[in-house]
Amino acid sequence: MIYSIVVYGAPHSSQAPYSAYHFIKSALAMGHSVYRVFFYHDGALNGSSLAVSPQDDNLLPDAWRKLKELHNMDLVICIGAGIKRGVINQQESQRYERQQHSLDDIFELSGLGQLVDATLKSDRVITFGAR
Amino acid sequence: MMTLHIFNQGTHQTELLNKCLESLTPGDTLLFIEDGVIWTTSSPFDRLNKRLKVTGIDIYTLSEDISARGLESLRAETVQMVDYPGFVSLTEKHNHSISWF
Repeated sequence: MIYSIVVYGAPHSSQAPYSAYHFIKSALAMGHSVYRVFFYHDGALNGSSLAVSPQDDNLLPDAWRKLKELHNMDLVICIGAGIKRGVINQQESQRYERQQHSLDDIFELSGLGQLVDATLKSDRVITFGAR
Repeated sequence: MMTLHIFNQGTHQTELLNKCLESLTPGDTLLFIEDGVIWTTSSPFDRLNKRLKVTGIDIYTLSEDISARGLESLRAETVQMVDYPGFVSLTEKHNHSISWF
């Protein structure tokens, strides 16, 4: 089956991205494919290239990079959620006249249409929520 | 149409659990993950069962999250354990899922 995953939570403050990662690993091992992971709300913070995890807690964000390299799934940060949280690419940085950009290059910044597209093209969409 | 309900909030979210339980229809499955697994320990699970008005609901709890919280010995015996592959299997069997949070 084709899966897409929605992640609402930030690393370190929510379990959502960790649960999503373990779910994806299991789904892939069982022969499924993952079309897209859509990061929404605080989940956008998963896309920061500036975050450094402590050595004893370093699963994320490197885990997303490994998944991307091995399985080439779409990793999409909601653009609205990202901009509000300082997770922006070079293009958005210029648009809003900022001096820096922070989006890791394994992620794309895009709109909710990508979530709609994921629901249309996947057999299953599983959401990992956060408060 | 059978739905997999995924509940990840702890026992402080009583209202949310009530809404979830009210939305269940026979044949649905309820899976507790993350802090939600606390609902599947003896005392909270008794409370849950009293509010459950529908029969024929399969209830599961995620073993990794039970272990991470040291709740193995407190788990209600009638709750079934699944690991992550089991979680994936549940999503295979249900056309739809709703995540409650």
